[in-house]
Amino acid sequence: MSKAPRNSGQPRHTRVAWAGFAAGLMIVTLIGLRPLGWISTGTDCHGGKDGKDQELVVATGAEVGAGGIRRRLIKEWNNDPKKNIKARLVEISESTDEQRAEMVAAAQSGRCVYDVLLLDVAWTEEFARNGYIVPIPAETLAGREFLPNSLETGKFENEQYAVPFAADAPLLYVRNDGKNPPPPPRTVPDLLSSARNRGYAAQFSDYEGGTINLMEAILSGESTGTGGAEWIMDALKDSGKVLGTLEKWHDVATASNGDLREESSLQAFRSGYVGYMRNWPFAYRRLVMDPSMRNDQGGLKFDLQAFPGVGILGGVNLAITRNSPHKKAAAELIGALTSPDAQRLLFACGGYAPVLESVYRDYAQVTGGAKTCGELLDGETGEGDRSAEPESEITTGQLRDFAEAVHQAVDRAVVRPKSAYYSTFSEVFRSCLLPVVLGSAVPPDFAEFADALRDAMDGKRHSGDHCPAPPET
Amino acid sequence: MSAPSPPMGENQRRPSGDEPGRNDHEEDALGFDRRAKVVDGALTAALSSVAVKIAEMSWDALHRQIERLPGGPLAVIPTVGLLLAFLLRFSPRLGAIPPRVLRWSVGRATRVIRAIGWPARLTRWMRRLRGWLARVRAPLAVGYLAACFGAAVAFVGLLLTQTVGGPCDPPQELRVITAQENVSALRERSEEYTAENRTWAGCAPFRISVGAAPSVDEMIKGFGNRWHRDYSLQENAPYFRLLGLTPDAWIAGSSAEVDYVREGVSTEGKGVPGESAELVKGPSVATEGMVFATFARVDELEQAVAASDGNHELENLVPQIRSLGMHIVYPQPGLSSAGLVAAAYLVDLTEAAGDAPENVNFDTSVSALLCRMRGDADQQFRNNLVLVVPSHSVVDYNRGRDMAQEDCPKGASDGSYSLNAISSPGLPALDHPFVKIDWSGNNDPARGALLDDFAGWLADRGLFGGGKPEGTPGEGGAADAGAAKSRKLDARVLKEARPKIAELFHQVKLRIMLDVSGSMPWSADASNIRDAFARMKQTLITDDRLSVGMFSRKGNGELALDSVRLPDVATGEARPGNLDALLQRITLDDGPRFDAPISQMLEGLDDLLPGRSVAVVTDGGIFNDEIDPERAAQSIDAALSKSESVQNLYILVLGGQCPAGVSAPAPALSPSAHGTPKDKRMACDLTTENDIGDALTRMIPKIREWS
Repeated sequence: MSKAPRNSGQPRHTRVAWAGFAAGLMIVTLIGLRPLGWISTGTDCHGGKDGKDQELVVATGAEVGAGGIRRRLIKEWNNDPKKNIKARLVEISESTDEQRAEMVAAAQSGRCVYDVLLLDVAWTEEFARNGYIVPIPAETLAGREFLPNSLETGKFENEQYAVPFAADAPLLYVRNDGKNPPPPPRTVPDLLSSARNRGYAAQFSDYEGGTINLMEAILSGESTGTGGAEWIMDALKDSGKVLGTLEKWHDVATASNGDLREESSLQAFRSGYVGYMRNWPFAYRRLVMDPSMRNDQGGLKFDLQAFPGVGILGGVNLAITRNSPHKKAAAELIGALTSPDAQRLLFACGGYAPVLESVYRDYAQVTGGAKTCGELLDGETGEGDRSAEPESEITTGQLRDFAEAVHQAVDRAVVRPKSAYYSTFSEVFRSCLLPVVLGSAVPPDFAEFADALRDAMDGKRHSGDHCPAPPET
Repeated sequence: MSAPSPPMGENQRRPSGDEPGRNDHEEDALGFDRRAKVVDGALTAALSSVAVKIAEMSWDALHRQIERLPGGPLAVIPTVGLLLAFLLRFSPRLGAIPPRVLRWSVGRATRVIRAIGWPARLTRWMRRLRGWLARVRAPLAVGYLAACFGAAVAFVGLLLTQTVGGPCDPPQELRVITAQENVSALRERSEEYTAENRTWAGCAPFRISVGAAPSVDEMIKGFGNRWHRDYSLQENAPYFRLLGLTPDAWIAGSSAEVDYVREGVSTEGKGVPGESAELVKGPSVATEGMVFATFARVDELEQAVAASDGNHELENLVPQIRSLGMHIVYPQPGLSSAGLVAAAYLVDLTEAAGDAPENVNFDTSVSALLCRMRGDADQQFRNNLVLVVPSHSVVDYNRGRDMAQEDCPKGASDGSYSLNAISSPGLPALDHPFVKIDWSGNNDPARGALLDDFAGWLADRGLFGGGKPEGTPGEGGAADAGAAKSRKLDARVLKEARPKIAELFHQVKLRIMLDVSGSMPWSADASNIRDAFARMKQTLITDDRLSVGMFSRKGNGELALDSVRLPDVATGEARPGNLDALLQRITLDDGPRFDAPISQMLEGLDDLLPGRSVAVVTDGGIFNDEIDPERAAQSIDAALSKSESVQNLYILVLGGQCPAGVSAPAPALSPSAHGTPKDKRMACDLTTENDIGDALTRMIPKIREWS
């Protein structure tokens, strides 16, 4: 009698085992990897854009105090008979956090809400990495000499994803009225020394401005940081130097109870409560146009210079959304908004710092290209230092000084760490160090703090205190 | 029958399957034994997984921890089941329990079926099923165990990848709005919720942005037209403004407010077809009462109440407050939902007390009101105030919490600077429902599920902390406990209150004169002028009358005075309903425009009807153009006194300084604020370009008071 074949069920069981193993592996892998860019449900533009197929929608923050110059540029585009498509500006909010949230939510919704975004330079990495925006066609940038630092902020993986629209770098405003005002400070130690007597308005509040001011304070401590993702961690390695630097800034940071932001700093400076103010270029136009900031001779009661330390580069860039059905037109609009004519108008009429070298050259040499706002709007030709009606617009001489200070500040400025999770990084950075500079918390264990920052660059935060005090020795 | 196998030599190999001493029967028994162990192992793994799943469904904290792991429950539960089955192998006694339990269950079920006497067809079917299971249980068990093993391998791989791997996936963006006074609390809760839901690697699956909600009127319009500000202000200009964050969810003050907005959207909102929102009311995330809050004189007030009826009903409490010379204040009802609630419940009493002018409302929100109190050092002024605010705001104020308002003074308040809450059953409770917003054509199920989960979490923890809202006092302590006794707020009360409030308010008859000299920041198309008026409009009542004019000097020194009029209205003045039409007629001429002094402008206002207040919006440069700039205030005052039509003058300066001698708008309760109706008043307020809208909004109650 022949034996029954041994393990006659084994091949079947083996097949079942392999099938089960593969099924379990695949199902869990698919679920665990969702959502990933390559596995996402997609964000195709379905059925046109909100019913307005033939319109370019530009998303931006609320423009306040710049004379509505951006709206004017959009109107000029619309009035050009050669343009086949009209543009519309949607002003989201005055809050940059809300602007960002709104733009990201629109991108994630898959609806074609916006064609062009006006992005803070710190968001370019996030929007590019997550596929919310697409590279800019090379012809948009052709023939333009952008400020190198500003152009760099629009790059992601060596491709240009955004075009600079307005630059921003910190300036130092110095009141020159009062009895025997001291000379403008040339170094940060000079500034801190004078600020103790004359007062200093900066932005050490709990928001992005606080992060920027903290970074500038740390960099002023003779850090060798040159920008990029690692500089802050490198700087933090020498925790003793960092702490010493922050201690020097304690007095000026706490002078206003850590409450000041850009507007309130401007008010404090304008009211004469402080003799120095660190602020962005937007403040210049506001102060120049303010009659109370003019002395009896018609001159200005303040001087302007680049921030004496290393500043953090700000600004806004223009980008094309991935879902836009009008990418070509969007690129053309971006080209128009960054043309030399538009940049001059933005500078002279709105106080926006230009992003083109040619505009700075024009105003530095006070050539035919250096015009006041009125002249630009009227199309008149300007020569030399042409004065406008007092207090009604900024003169070409004032614009020259402004351009020089801004250009110098932009050249010196360094970028913030580039990360798709920059906002997480900023929150972690600020939450640990702001209380230290304000004197309300002990310094953290810098090794753990640096680890927390590295995780934050990847968007990771772990529960527990990421600012633990150093272990007692 | 086969012969037994002969003994083998040392170097001889037995044919496969020919183990020493084993025969076919033993071989089958061995295979059967292995199969039985596999089946038992699979049963153990399955039952362990079921047990873990039951625990996960019953215990929220465990559920959240499992959700944080890669693959979620589908990865973790079979892995844990497999692990338990493996461990139980080492304990035969424990390992035998799960299959024994299962067999016992099946046996019991079979007996029950037999006892019941199920139909023969069903019994036959079950017998066939049992036979089939007997044939396939081994491969099923093998397949199940292999699938669990595959899931476990994937789970471990994902864990390692996330730990060692690169950046997190982009989080889902969620936008939630709420009243300004709730923003700080909601931000803190959102951060807690996000932290609890981070994955094992520390990645957040979502990011919650919190913003302040606009006014009720703005929401009614916004929910009907894609959250855009009123279109009529754009008049085909190529720009639009959103009302801030386009909400995915709204934490309202009360269900009544939600009903009120819903009704408004359906009746008044004239939105773009297909672009309106649906408001889906969810659970309540906090319950608190509106309270009276006072800095001082609490004992005095309680004594007065005790001496009267002794109860804290509004009809008794409010007259006692007034009898002590104290004044009730709350945010503007047109701009703050808490202010609207306060006004709705006090408006009848105000009329009964006959002291409508004493009922002062200051600021645009609870936060703005409390920030003003924090920054106001006048103790006598504060001691005579009774604020009507949500109870949690009192706690926030005393603890020095962030009011989510720039420039708000910081620091905890104690002693004479702290607020004391006094509850009244006559004031309503706020139930703070979580409202999901479904925008047409933008309903993402994943986003909806996230919001539902957040709503449930928030309902469990409470918006202001302190656990579940109902019956559990939050940080408001006694005031919150009293919320359960407070009356329920009804949408009808809010709706009926608006016209009543309007009747009580004094009419504003105002001409706003805009300095349009070249230094003013007005855009060429006057769009920012219209933007500034948009916010102010919400403080107006139906009977208010407004007109707008512009003044400057031409190049030859001649005064240029322009009035903007509505051609179809006899007086040319606008009511709130047609103010937009008036604003659309504002245009700025090209050409140089120079400063004109206010005194000259006042003398030139010959088209103004009598009894009007005039507000001047300027950057202050015009003060230098008075006859004697050093005495600009006197010059302006003289012109005001001479004017037959201008009753009051309110100067709003953008940047710059007020002329020396012109005081800031006095608090309503100070003696200088009162006078005979024929007294002419003048005040000067400072603001910035960014805050013109808010400054105009603050101006209206002051003008109303002067009226």
